[in-house]
Amino acid sequence: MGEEELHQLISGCIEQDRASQKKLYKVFYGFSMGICLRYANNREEAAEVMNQGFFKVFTRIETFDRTRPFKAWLGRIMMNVSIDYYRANLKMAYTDDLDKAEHLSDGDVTDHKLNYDDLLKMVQKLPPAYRTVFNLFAVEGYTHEEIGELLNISPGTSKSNLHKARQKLKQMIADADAPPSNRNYGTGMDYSSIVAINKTDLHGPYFDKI
Amino acid sequence: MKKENEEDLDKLFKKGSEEPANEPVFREADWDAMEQLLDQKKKRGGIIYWLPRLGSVAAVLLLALLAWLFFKPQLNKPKNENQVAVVHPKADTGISGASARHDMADSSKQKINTPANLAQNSDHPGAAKKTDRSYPYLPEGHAAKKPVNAPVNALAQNNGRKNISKTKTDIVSPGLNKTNNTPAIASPIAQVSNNKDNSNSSAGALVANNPATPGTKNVAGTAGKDSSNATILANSMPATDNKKDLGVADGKKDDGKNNVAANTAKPKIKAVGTSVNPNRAIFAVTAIASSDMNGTSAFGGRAGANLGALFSVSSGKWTISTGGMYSIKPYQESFADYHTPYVFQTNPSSVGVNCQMIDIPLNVNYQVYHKGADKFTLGTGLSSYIILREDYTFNYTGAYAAGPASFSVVNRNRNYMGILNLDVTYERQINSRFGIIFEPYYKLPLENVGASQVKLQSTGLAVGLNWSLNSFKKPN
Repeated sequence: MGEEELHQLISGCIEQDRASQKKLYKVFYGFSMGICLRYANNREEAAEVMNQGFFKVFTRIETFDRTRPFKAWLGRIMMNVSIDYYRANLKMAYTDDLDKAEHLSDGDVTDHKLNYDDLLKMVQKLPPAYRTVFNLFAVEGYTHEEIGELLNISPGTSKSNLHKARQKLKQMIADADAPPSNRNYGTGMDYSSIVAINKTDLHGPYFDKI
Repeated sequence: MKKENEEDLDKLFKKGSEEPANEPVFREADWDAMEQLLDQKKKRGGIIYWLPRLGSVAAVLLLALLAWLFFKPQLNKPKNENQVAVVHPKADTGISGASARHDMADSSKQKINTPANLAQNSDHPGAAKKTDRSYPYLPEGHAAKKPVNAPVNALAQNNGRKNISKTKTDIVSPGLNKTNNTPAIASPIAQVSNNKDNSNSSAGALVANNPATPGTKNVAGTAGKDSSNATILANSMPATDNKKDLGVADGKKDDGKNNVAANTAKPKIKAVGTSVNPNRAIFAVTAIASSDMNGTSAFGGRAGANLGALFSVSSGKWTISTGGMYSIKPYQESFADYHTPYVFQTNPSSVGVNCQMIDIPLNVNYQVYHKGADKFTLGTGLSSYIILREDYTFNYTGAYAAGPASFSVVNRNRNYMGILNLDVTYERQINSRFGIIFEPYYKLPLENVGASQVKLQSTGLAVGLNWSLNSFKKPN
């Protein structure tokens, strides 16, 4: 989209022209939804969060400084709305089955031939506290101090949550790759029915991939 | 190694998220949900928008009602049939208008003179010593024997008023006034005009009851003081020649609103005794519709329509009115007049606009002519525009032009007291309560109007129906 066209759309949105609003929505839908999907549990919640984000965009568009890049402004709004949406859950720390993850081999992640969609789904399965920190650190590039300020947690908690997020992801990746018949072999995770349920869940994305 | 792996994971995720191919596909359902959010906000905004405006309209009406109630007591003055004279408690009598009004308003101090009462009244108003110049004034002649209303007299005495200057006496016997053009005298209808100029209300009652008493004090030469005094009842001022006799005598109807004298009180008696304040406020409601030409120059433009209601307060010759009109104003403007921060790739040649707005006028009208049922007034005032919606259509010269075709602005622009109204009103009274109004008008903007900031002018003709809320019916 050209600069002038964007400028015109923004002007239309300032005038609350519905057609301009829809056009802007469609143009930045992919970008915005992409951000929200990373922070949300699933597509439905992501859509809800994204619409809240766009609502803020449309109501605050007059305040947007047109000399700055619009996409960055929009992205920041989407991130903030996403964080707020799960803010109640951010302080929880899941301690279950983390110990299992410690035993996972540290094979090269890139060997697993993951595609983004799969990875995304795995990220969505993380508890919100880990997921948010992982997104902010890995994708947005914030330091733990900055993350601490954003989420109102200590940098230590941020580090801890990040570590936990990675561990869980690796676990999921490993489980996704393991052939079904071997899934319990040597992983030390075949000792309870709960684990089995977990495994079934983890296999979800694997089967949905097609 | 572990760290690298971790970083690899981070990078993998990040890289994937930035890949446009990974962006989710648009879903219309998501936009529908978004629209609902936006519409909800509009509705909420609507309430926020209307509430203060309705509140202020309600406040204005409430004030008007209070004002009416305030003026109302004066209407409760005793209706004295056969009442004659009128006092000018103003300067000459020394009775302050205010105190007299007070007493007038205090019905306990008044004696309501019924014919029976009067029969007992032996006091003679002509007797200077006991002249009670406050209301009510007693008739002369056979009625002179009636006792004076004690409290009233006391009042007069309290005021130390023994004589009233000759120039001010209002004696009731209009019969005396041969020199006067008080055809009103002959008129059976007691009238009081509210009009300041109309101090010659006929003392219709007088005629009925008062044989002329030549000996009485001044009749003639009563200065044509305006009877603008609140305590005046029936103003039977013998007029001097230069007095205008407004509308009274020939039974002309004063404009319906001012038809006070036609008193409700005693329809059977053609009596005066109407205690009416000539400057009593008359309240009226007008339903009005108009069509006009709107444009950015005086004669260009497109036709629009307006519909609404006005509330007015009249006193004497002046009227103040306000209200609300819903207006649709389409107009065309050249692109040169169209102001916007947006930079067009290709400039349109012209812009068509359709505005929907609420026009809230505040006008003052002065009556310049009034005869019978016809009345002309000149008016001016200021209007505020609350623009509800503006739809802009861009007209390009070429067949293919890259640029916006149209856009709309909703509920954004306001002009407070920014448009000057000029009008001439002709009102034809149908009866004491209703009148028809024809009003050519011109609206000149004092500031820029609308999102495109143009000087939008309007000129047109309005037709309305005026309903007086508190005028009195004329007795027949």
